[in-house]
Amino acid sequence: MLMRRSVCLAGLLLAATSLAAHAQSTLTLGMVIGTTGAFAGGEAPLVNGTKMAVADLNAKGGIGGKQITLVIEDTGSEQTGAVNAYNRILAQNPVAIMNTTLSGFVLSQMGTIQDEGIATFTGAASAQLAPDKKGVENLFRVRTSDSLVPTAAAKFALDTLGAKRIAILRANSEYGNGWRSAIEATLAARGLKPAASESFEGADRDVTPQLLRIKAADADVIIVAGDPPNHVVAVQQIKQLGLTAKVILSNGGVLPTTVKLYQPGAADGFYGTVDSVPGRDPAQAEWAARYRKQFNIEPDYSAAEYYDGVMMVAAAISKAGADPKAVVKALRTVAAYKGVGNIYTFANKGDGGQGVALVQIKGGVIDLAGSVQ
Amino acid sequence: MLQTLLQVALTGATMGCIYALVALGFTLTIAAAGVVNFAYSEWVTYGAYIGVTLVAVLGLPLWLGLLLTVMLCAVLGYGFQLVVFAPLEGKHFLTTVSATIGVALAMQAAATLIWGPYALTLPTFFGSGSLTIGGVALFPHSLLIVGMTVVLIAAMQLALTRTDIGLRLQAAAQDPVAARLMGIPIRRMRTLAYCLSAALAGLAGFMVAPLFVVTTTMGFGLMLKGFAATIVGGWGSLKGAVLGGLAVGLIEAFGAAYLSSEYKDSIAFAMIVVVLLLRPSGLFPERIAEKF
Repeated sequence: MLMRRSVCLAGLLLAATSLAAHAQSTLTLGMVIGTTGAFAGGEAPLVNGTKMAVADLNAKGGIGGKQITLVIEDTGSEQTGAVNAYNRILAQNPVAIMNTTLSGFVLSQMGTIQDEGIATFTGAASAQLAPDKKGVENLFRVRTSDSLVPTAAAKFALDTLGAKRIAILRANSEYGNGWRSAIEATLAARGLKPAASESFEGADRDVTPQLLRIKAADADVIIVAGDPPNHVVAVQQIKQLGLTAKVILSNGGVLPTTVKLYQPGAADGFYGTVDSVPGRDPAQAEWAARYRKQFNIEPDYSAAEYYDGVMMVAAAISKAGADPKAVVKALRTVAAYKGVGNIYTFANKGDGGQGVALVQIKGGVIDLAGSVQ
Repeated sequence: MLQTLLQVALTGATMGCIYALVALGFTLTIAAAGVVNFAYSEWVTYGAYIGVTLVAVLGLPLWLGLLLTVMLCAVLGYGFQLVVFAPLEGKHFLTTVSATIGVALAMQAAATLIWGPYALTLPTFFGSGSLTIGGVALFPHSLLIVGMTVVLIAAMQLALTRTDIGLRLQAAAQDPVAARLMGIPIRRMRTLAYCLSAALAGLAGFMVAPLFVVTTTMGFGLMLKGFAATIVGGWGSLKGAVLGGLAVGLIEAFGAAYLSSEYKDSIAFAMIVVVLLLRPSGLFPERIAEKF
């Protein structure tokens, strides 16, 4: 009996020792993302970009000789799910966390993010997440803020497309409201007002009444802000109703996975905003080719930005060690870091990505139409 | 002004027909078996995904894809009643409802595993163009949905009131005990209702796939509207489901066009509250609803 107990204890000790040794030889990178539910499709490229970066780092020997283990927790595409998933990932003692891209979800996690102090990356674009607003020291945005993108869209409409009457069609969400505010501010700076401002719910699959009001307002440019499914519905109904206004879609409308969903020819000539176009950038050709081969889809800026986020974490750990405070401090010195998907600055309360480009859909593919500083 | 009115009416009628199709299938199981099937949203979603698989992946023509989708969904309904409903028959109402919610969550997760996280779509039967008559844009696929719904509802009405099997189904729904005493096989009638309900879900899923985007959550919003239509029309009433669906679609469209797009859903749900206050059993209640 005593012998059997001793063997069991020895076994447990051995297992615990080997687990501890494994933990010491690896670094855990956490990821809080929607792998199921409504936003799973939109967030899948972020998982791809993160996995690709982890694989690249591990292939080169990891960070300081330690391999990286990626642990993913599902938000279920729900706000409470995002808070719970963030808490679950904290129990894994991650060196950093690649977080969801949903602004509302990140805002609801903000208290925990601040309390725990782990470097947390997000592709959420809301202007509210800026360091001088509701953002915190250890939250890093791997995306261009919505304080810049809608402004760029409005300026492109006014200066390049010669718009006189701009209409806004946006989702009734943190994201859509951010777009409306930024566009209204840009127009107000030039003494203008939107010709019409219409909204829809995320689950709406008919925006005909809203488009008829925009048509009645005689808009010459329509700026649409929402999630990919909203764009598909809006594009189809703009085409059906024969609206002749030029159209600028927010980022979700020109993702490669969204462009594939438009009925043939329906979105031809429409414009869209992106942070970058890694799939069409000769400087990123090698990365883009590997991405296409690995995931069998066209690369987009969001995957590239999460790839960049992991690479910045790796650089910070190499420089300052894996202590959470040291990682955050090192990341806050990043200035004009040129990644695959954007150029980032976190130093001096920098808000992450700064790139904005305008693309045009032609024959089912996107082409660069201009960039706005 | 008149053109806008007609355009909004057409849009509202199209959405109303979609809600009516969903509400009809949803109501069938309520009327025939007293089961509120919250997995119905997933039946619609699976209809769309099966359609995408048959047409976009296997390359079948759209019409054949539609036919096979409806048939496969009927088989899905048969399997569903065999695995979920039959073992729970006679159990408390809430037990069955909870089971359908659990199955819905499992089906949604399974859809992500089978078809992946990315949104998918189907081509329309007549391309993406539209006809313009008198300044009103007519989208052929929307007209097809309206026409198909009208024909289907007429056929169902005829089948339920003029055929032996339809009358048996109605009898089984209205008074299962008396129907059993008259020699009507209740279990088979309920199985038929489940299969019909699933076939309608498949049809709805396939037809809305080109208009909506096919995602794992596409059926949920539709089911909510279908549920609203069921309440407005009259709990358990097939006629009420159809008219309730049309009412919800039209009120949504006119509310967004002439009042505010921001409060479109609030307007539709305020209407439900008003209906329930004035007529608690819905606009078109049927006798079979009394047993609930």
